Amino acid sequence: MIQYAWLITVMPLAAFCIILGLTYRQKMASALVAIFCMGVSLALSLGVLLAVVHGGEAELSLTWFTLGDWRFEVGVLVDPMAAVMFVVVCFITFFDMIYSIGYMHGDPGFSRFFAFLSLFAFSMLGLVAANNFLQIFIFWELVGLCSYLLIGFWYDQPGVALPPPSAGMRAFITTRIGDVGLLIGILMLAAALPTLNFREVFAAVGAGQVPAGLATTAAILLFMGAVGKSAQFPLHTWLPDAMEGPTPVSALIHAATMVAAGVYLVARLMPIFNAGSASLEVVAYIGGFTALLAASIGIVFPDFKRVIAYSTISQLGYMFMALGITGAATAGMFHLTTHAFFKALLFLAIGSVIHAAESQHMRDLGGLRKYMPVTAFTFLMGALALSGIPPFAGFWSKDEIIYSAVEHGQTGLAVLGLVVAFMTAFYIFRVYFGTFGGEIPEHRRHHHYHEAPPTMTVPLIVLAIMAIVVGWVGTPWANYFAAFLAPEEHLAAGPDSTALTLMAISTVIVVVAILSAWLVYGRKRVPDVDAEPLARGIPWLHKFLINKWYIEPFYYGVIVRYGAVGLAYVAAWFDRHVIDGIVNGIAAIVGGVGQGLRHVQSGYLQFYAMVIFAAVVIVAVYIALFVTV
Amino acid sequence: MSPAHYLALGAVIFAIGAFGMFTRRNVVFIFMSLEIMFAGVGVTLVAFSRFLAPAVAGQVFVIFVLTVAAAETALGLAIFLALSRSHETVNADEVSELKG
Repeated sequence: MIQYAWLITVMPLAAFCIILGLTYRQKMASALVAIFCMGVSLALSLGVLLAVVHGGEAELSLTWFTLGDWRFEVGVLVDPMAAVMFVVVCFITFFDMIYSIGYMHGDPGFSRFFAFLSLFAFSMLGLVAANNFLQIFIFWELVGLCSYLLIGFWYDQPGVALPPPSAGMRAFITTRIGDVGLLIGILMLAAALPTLNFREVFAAVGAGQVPAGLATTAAILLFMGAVGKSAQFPLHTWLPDAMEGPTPVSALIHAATMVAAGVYLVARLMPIFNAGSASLEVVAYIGGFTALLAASIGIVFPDFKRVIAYSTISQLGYMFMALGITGAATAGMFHLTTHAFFKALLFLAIGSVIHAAESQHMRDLGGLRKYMPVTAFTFLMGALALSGIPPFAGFWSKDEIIYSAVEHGQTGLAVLGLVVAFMTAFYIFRVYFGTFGGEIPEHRRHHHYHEAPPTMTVPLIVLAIMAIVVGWVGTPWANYFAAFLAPEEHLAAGPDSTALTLMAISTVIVVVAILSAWLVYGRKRVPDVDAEPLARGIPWLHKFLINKWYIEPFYYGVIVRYGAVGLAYVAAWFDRHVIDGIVNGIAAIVGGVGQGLRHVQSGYLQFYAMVIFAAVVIVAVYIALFVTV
Repeated sequence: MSPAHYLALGAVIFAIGAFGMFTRRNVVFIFMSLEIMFAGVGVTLVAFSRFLAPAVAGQVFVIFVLTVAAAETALGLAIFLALSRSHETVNADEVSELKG
């Protein structure tokens, strides 16, 4: 089974080609092609997972081209991490596609949507499968491209794909900044080592062939790529804007898969991070800070879909914290897995709301529970999972992160984790009560609300089940997940007292948060931003948070205006004066020479005759003196 | 008599003709000077023929030169006529339209 692992990646590519080539006009056919191919990939990935569980592991590789001593390959590295990611990506993409049939119904770009989704799936799976730096970089960029295409899907809407910096552009360019770091990191490693293959590089690092300084710098540069792609501070600004795209896109790319690529990258390249001296700290602290930053904004933001986006940023911060603290992939990957399911669920559920209410702003939402019971219930499941209430999935993964923080002596980060957990539960139940609780706002009484069609509700239900169940593979009593990913680590027999205490503390904190949210938002609807208790109580804090800590004005007002634009002026000056100066200078010289030479053409017959005569004289003298016959 | 005398004569005649060609303004005089130059060349050719006996190539060549000179003069006067008709001048300095 493992030798067919490459098919997992290739099937969606086939779907892309078929949709664009054959079925573009037939909308349902396109959807079915995409779903079919994804289904095959899903089945294959489950098979591969089963095979790897039973101890199989393989690296499939094909030589792409050689350049001197260098061999560039295309390959699939099938190990536990990859096997898990395959299933996660395929599963969520599959159900996201089914959901899209309902959500994108009637959209003129229906077929194009499925084509791009398939292309994205291909890119993401190629990234997961990658066994060498070149391949992962190529697919990294491809994933970014697909994100751009899908965010800007409704390209005729201003702010989406058209300038001034449209959401798609912002996403692409911001992640590009991170990609520069990634590329330089890869090049540094390539300069030091003769290979780009992961296993060979790790072996070299393990054998001490890479000096610590180089490893640290390379690791941090590689992490820059992850910072961009996974929307961590300071490159986090693009993700909330990416919500301009259709909700299935947000669910798939900006919750479950693409943004997880950064986490996957760091997890994959752990040996390099471990070889460096400060790289892990950098990862952990940036992750922790971002978690706090995003959660704080989520508490006040009025656009509920964006609140969920900030939640994604925050949860990704948790994952990076986990990776940085432990120096191992298990905790982070576990949270990635659980998060993928419940975050996708939350996005799809809010998408269902948006589909029915045609709005995502807090002033338009409220009282929807009786009209959309399935959506409300599944959202609640997702919210409980995100908050970290046992036995939901999020509880186990988040708790493992906080526990590992305590275990590694990082009490500061552990406390941070608990604080953010409180904020997380608070903001997500703010959204829940604000959408489904209370009563329908005055100006919306006439609006017709209906539950989503089965193509949308079935995926919601499936994901809700997963949001409950998927955490059970990683409970402290029997952490199959950790054992699977890192078999060399000895499996603890069960939680110790610290762990149990932590579990209790975190549950209490979360319950208090949910109760607070209920007190504020659950009993009577908060109609709009200015009616928020925080806005009334601590207006400066509210203003600070709702303006996203004024980071974006800083970026545009200072960095872009003085930095980028300043550089643009310098470049323009250089272009105009130096480059054009050279070009024009050459032209001027030619002209000048021409001006000088034109006097030879005097037009006077006798002048010409004299010139000829002089020439003959010179030749004659030359022959007379220097030529011997 | 050594050939040097004859060659010197030829050179002087040629020089006179050249000087005249460069200095005269009237096109007809330029042609006349051109003829003088031919004469100088002719003298040189005959001189070589005389002193490189039994070769008579020089003298034969002179006949050819004179013939060509005559033909060329005819051509030149034709150009001169055309020139004087179109520009109403016989001053070489004034016919400088190819200037610059």
